[in-house]
Amino acid sequence: MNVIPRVAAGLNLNETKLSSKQGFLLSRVDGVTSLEQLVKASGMASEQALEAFVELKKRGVITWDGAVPSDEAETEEDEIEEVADSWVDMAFDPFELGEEVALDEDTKKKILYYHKTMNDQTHYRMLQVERRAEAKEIKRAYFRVSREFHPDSYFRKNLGSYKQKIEAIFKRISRAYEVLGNEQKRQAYDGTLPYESTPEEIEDRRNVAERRERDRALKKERRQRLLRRSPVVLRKRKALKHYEDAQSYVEQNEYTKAANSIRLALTLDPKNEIFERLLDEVAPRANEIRAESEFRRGRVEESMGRIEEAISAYLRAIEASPSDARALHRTALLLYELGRDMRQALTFSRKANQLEQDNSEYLLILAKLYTELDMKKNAIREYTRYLVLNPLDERAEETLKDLKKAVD
Amino acid sequence: MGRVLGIDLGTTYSCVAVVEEGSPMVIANKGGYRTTPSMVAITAGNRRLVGHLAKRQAVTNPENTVYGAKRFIGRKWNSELVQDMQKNSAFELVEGPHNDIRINLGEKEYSLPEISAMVLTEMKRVAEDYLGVSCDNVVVTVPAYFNDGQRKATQDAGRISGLDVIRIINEPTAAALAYGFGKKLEKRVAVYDLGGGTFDISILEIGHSVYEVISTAGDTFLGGEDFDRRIVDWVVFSFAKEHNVDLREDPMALQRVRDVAEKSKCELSFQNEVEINLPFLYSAGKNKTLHFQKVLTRTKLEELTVDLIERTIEICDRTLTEAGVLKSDIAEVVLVGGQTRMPKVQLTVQKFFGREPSKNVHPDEVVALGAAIQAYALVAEKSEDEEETLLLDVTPHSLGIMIVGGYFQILIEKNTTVPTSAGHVFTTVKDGQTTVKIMVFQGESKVAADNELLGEFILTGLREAPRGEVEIDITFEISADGIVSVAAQDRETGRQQSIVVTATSGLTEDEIQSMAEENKDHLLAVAQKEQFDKVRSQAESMMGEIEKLLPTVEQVIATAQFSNDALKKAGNLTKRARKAIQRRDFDALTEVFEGLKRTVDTFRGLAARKQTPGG
Repeated sequence: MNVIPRVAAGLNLNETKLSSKQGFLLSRVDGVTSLEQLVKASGMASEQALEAFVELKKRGVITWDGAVPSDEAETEEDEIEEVADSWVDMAFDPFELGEEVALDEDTKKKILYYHKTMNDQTHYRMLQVERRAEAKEIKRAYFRVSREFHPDSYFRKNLGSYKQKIEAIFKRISRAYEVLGNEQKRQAYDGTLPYESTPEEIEDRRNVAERRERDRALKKERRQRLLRRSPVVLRKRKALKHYEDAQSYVEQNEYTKAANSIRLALTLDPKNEIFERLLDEVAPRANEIRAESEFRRGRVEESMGRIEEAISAYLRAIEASPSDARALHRTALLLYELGRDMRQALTFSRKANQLEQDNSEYLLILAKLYTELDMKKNAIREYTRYLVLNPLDERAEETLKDLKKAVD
Repeated sequence: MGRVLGIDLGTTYSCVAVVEEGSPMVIANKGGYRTTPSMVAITAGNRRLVGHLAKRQAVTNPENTVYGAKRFIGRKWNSELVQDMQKNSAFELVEGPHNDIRINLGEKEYSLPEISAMVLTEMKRVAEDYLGVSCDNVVVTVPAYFNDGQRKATQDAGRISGLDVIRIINEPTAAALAYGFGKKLEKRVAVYDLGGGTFDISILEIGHSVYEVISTAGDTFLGGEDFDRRIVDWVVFSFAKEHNVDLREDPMALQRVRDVAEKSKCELSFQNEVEINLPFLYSAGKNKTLHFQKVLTRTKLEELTVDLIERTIEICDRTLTEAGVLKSDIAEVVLVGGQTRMPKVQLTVQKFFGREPSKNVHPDEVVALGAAIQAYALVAEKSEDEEETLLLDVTPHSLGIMIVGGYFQILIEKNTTVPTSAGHVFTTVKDGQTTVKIMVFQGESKVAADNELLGEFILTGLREAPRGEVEIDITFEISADGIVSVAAQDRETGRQQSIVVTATSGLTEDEIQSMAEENKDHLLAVAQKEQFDKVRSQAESMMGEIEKLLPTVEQVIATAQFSNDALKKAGNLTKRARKAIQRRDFDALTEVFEGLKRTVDTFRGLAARKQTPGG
């Protein structure tokens, strides 16, 4: 991060397209300020600014020596460094820094930094320890820092104005340790500092937050699970699903399926008007279709001689479409042929004839049924109708004659 | 800076050490002794004797032999202790010009720093003889409980001796340095230092090579000498009881008793009883001399000194309590000082701390070693892997000023890490007041006068202003040596105020300068005398040879018709040389020295001719 960006040589700004943000950042690049400082001074979020600089470099607008500080590891490292050498960024008085003494520049900076800031630093910062450090750590830190700033470490060196500064810093350090090295004084001092959570507390809080978050998630899930399980909601949801299915089936002209779905939907959510409306729309056509298929099935069963199955199929067809004359007729016919349930057969046949008048076949069966049930007048009437339509049926004529005779 | 020595300037014995190739070592004197008696004597011929030489002649020259000078250094003439001690000293104490103490030796009065300077000079010589290079920089140790005056006087001693005392460190701290050297310890230790004249107890926290003194206390008038004195008193009283004679009136007898007391005390550390036998101790009239002969048992000695040992324990207890340190917190007890050899002392310490004291250090040498380690730490260029030793010592006394009502206001608490400083603002109490007097004390009493007065500081030349308007910032500073300095500044003008220091028992700058000059002169004179003696003995041996060859040379000259110029010249030279020797005229002697050399050569040549005739 301590690389120094420079504007690329021979850059023609007019040929470079930059965003206003990039333009601003570029205007800060002076070939002196380090990338780190530029990022800090940008007023932007550091990641953002850093990204923008990296982008500028990729585009060849600016250059710097060294790697692009892109990975996180480097940033972290840099942060650590920042903590250790807070004085790196400080603006130093060149006269002070230039004083000819037996100290290297880093040491001078360190001394100037501490001397300038020591009255604003907490005792903890002076000893470079954590607020929650144990007594032993504090002692070790005091020893470590003392080594750095005890006047004896610079014994009889030419220190100029630094001599007094080192002494002042050491006294400041001693004062810090006088307080932090004593349990009671330390507690009293801590009371004067803004409260800082203990790692345990932070940990606790984090746990609490985590637990809360977890609880919330669990609750939500449970509620959802409960909701899903709640009959009403569950059914409505399912109903809706079926309704949606039904709609799509309608679109595909699959009316049976559509009707099934909508019926399911209605089972789950009765009284749903929307569903009912759709059902009203779909059901007749569905019934027709079903009746048709059942009818066909009945015919197949019939052809195979499975009369009972055929009757069942026809009955289902009737159920689906009570106005399916064919099915009514065929049922009546079969029952008649089986000589069973004549009354029921009569009902079916009558209905079939009502629905489809002037069908000779239907009329014949109806007549036959009346005959069989000894309802002669009705039989005569139907035979008569039949014979109008089918005058060539001699057998029927004979039967009619017989009937008429019997009545007479 | 070259090699820097560590000197343990003890009450009874001194010791010098140096760090050689990274490890500290004690330097033995020419007699092979690793410690040198801190004794100084002026002989009848006005010769200065230091160390073993002084000790050896003490019996015959008790009035002019100083021992235990450290017990008086930096003290005031009018202090009770001094008045008391005066009665027990064979040498004469007199009042100095600053309420200080001077010692009358021979024809001259010596200040205490001068006496200590002589010991320091001797220790320097011991080191230089061994190392073969000149050593001008030293670290000197003092008892931890020494106050500012005592420390300053020790510093003055250094200056008078011409040494640069780069640092004064506390004896128990030095002992801890040597104890922990190179061990990478991390623990809390107690140093129990019962030396020849002083007692110190220091509690230290050692963290690798950092030595932090947590607290320290002591008694600068409690040591082996007091144990000796109990034996001396026992002898004196026994003798008085038996013969009705006070031995203290006879300095020579008293010195004999003192010698035997010390010796017996030491012996009783290793055996259960000792026979004190002093024949012809006191002459009572014509042909009548009294003897002393009595057995002193270890039990008796312990009985005589039980209160002294108890006092050290009381101080230990107080220190621990004040520092808030539990005995169980202490991982090691280090015994320092010759008096800790006494079994009863060891036992009592062991009982108090509940642990057996460490015997890993040499009680007589460890302090000097520590001083050398500190010297090395301060000045030597260290290699990368060497751990820098750092001392974080404390001030043993609270520092403060006298306020209204004679009370003592503390500005720097005792056991504060040094170097440290504290400020105080003074205001004028009268209109137009131009001076302010500040009385600075060291001690723990609430009443200022009960503490040790370090000095009166008078601020002069204040601005004339209505009262309360002039505010003066006074800064009291205690250096790493434990020495106090005061600076004053006008708050408003920022002007440094001049301070006049009065009422200290210390020597003035002029006195120190002239004493240093005198010492230099003395050393020069000694050196010249040595040089003169060397040249004289050579000259004398040459003259002897010339005389021996003379008859032969006369014959040769007579036969060979040489002019007898050579003979005349030789006679002349010998005469001049004799005169120069007689007058101890070094310059005149060196003038004729070359001529003598040539004459011997010529005579040898002529004598050779005689042996090879015809040549």
